[in-house]
Amino acid sequence: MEKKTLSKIIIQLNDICKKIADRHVLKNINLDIYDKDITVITGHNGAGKSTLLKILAGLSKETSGVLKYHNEGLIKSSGFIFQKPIFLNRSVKDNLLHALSCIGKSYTYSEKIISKHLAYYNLTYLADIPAIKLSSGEQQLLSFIRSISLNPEILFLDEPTSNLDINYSSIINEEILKLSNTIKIIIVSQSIDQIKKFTNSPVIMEGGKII
Amino acid sequence: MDFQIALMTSIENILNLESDYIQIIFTSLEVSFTAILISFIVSIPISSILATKEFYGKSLLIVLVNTLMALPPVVVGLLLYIVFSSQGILGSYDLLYTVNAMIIAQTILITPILISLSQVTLTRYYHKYNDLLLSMHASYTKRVFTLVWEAKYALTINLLVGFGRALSEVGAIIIVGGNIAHLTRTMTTGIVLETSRGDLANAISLGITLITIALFVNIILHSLKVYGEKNLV
Repeated sequence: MEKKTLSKIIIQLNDICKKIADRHVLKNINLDIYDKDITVITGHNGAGKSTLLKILAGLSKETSGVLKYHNEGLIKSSGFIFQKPIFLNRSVKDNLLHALSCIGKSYTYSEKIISKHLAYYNLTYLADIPAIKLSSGEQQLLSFIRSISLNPEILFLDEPTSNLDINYSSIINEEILKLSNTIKIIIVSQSIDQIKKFTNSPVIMEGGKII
Repeated sequence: MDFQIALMTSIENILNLESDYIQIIFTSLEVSFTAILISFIVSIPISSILATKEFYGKSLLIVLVNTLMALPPVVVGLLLYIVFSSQGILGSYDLLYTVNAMIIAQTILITPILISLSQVTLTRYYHKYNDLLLSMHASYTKRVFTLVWEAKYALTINLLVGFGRALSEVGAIIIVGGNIAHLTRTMTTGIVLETSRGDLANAISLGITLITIALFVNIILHSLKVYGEKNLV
């Protein structure tokens, strides 16, 4: 008989509000995030999706309300992929080395991990090229590699494929699906195809609220 | 004196490279380079904190630093003269009319400039990279080191501005240095002296040398910046 494990809450938001320059970006958000499946947050531009994602990832502080991680270590073991990839003014390899040095990994270990990931995605030939000189598709893929190199337990993605062509979008989408078997994924998306692919019950936002 | 003759004599002076002349150039460079180095070391941690931390009184501190940027050099010179004179608080250290006193004066004048410019530069980099660095769980120290490293070429430009100010400064160092030949005479204080004595040839030769050195240092640092931005790695 197949053993079925029940989903459990890993993040809980109670009455979360966020005010930016006198504008209420988030209004009384109540949300439970479960450890299973991919959580997709969607909504129109300006709905507050990215702000909510940043608060969930601990990159932004809520103005009021309670944000509770059921396992405090979870957020310390997270990765974040931005809509527009951000890179240091360094080569592809050095960007990845820097990311791993942030979590205290040794140079030898980091080199091994980086070589493995770059080889897996057929990007070894780009290792010494400045990251900011890559195409937007390559940059997003590199951003993805950088995040998974950190070996996260939870991955936050803010519209990761919005600027990509079909080829790179499908690569990223497939990788997200694969990863979701082992780690928790929370993604902000406006793409109907992506939403359908990842979930049956997206979190829909409008005007700073969940509807 | 005919200006043309003065100009010709000044060029001769430069080409002769007399020991007095070399001593003046050496003293100028010693004072300016030491002052800019100390200012840079002091300004980077302060500007990093101003750029990356929110704390009570931060705005006031920034206003204060910006105000100090406009400090009149002669006033700084006068205050240091009082402090270093035999009756002053630091009188026992015999700093007055020494190169060290001149370095202190220039450091006081340049540091607020470097703090202010570096704070603006690092704030720009902070906004660009802070979310990324936080998402990678970088410690505060790691974030600051990364920002400073990423901003190194922009910070070089700030250094140039500070160096220009140091090299051309005269008001403070003439008061605390005393413009003593073979000891505390620099190119700028030398120009003041020679002009007041009516020796235009000597004043012009020092002026030409001053501008040439400033230009040379600027070319080197600017090339470094351009090289860095082109290669990126």
